[in-house]
Amino acid sequence: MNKLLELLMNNLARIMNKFTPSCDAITLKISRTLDNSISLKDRLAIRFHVIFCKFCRRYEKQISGLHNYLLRNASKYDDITEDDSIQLSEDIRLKIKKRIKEENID
Amino acid sequence: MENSLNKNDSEHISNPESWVDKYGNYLYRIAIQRTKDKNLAEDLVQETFMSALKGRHSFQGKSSEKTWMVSILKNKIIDNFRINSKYVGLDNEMFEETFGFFQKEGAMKGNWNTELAPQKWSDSPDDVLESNELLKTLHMCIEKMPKQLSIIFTIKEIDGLNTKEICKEFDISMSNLWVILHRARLLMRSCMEKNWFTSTIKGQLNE
Repeated sequence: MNKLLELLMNNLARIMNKFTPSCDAITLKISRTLDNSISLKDRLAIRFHVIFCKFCRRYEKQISGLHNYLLRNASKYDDITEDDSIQLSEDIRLKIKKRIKEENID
Repeated sequence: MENSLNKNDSEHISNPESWVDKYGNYLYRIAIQRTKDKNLAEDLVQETFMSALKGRHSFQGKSSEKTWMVSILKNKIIDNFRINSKYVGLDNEMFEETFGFFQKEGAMKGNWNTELAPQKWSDSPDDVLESNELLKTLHMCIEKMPKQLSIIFTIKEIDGLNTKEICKEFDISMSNLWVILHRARLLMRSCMEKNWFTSTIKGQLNE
C-alpha cells in the first residue's frame, strides 16, 4: 500500500496531466482572468491545477503581480523612457514647423 | 495686428510654433511604441499637431497641454488601426519565441520545460512601491517582444483599451486576442525574471 502511494506521488505530475489541462492551457486561462471574467469551470480547473503544480502557482502570482503593477503605474509609463535614440529627424521637424506656421496664420 | 490677436486667442495654449520643440520627440516615442513604424509615427505626430491647432480654442486647460496632445495622439493611433485593420497580421512567427516554454511531445506534453519554468522570485512586484527602475525594465521587456505582441499588449495594459474594443479595432477574434496576450505575458514574465527578479535560490525544490 505504501509502495503504491509512493509510486503515485512520484508520478503525480503525470497523473495530473491526465486529469487536468496542461500547463500551456492553464497559463492561458490564468492570463484570461486578467482581461475578462472566466467561467466557474475554468476557475476551478486553475485552482485544482495549481494545488499540484508549483510552476503554474508561481506563474499566476507573478503575472498578476506584474499586471497590477502596470495598472498602478500606467500613467507614468510614457514618461519613463528618455531614449534619445528615438527622435524626430530634423527634416520632419522643419516640415511640421512649417505647416504649423502656415496654418496658424489663417 | 490680426495675426497677433489670433495667436493669443487662447490663454491656455502656448505658441503653436513652439510645440514641435516641446513635445515632438515625446509624442514621437509614444507613436513609435504603438506602431513600430517610423513613417506612420511621423505622420501621426504631424496630424496630432494639426488637430491641436484646429481644436485649440476648445482646450480648457483642465489638463496640461502635453496630456491633451497625448490624448489626441492616442485617439489617432487607435483610428489608424481601424483604418488599417489588417495592420497586425497574425502569423506563427510572432509566437515563435514562446514555443520553448512548454514541452512539445511525450507524456508531459504541454507542461513546463523545467529550465524555462517560473522560478521563485526574491521579491514580488507588489513589494516594489515606487521604483522607476522596475517600470523601465518592464518597458524594455515589452519593447523587446515581437512587434504585434508588443503593440497589442501596450494598447491593452498601458492605454487601457478593453478586449472587445481591441478585437474590433484590430479585426481579430477574441480567442486570438487571448492567445496574443497570453504569449506576451509569457515573454514579459521570463524577461522580468532574467532582468529583475533574479532568483537567489534558483533550482531549490521546496517551496
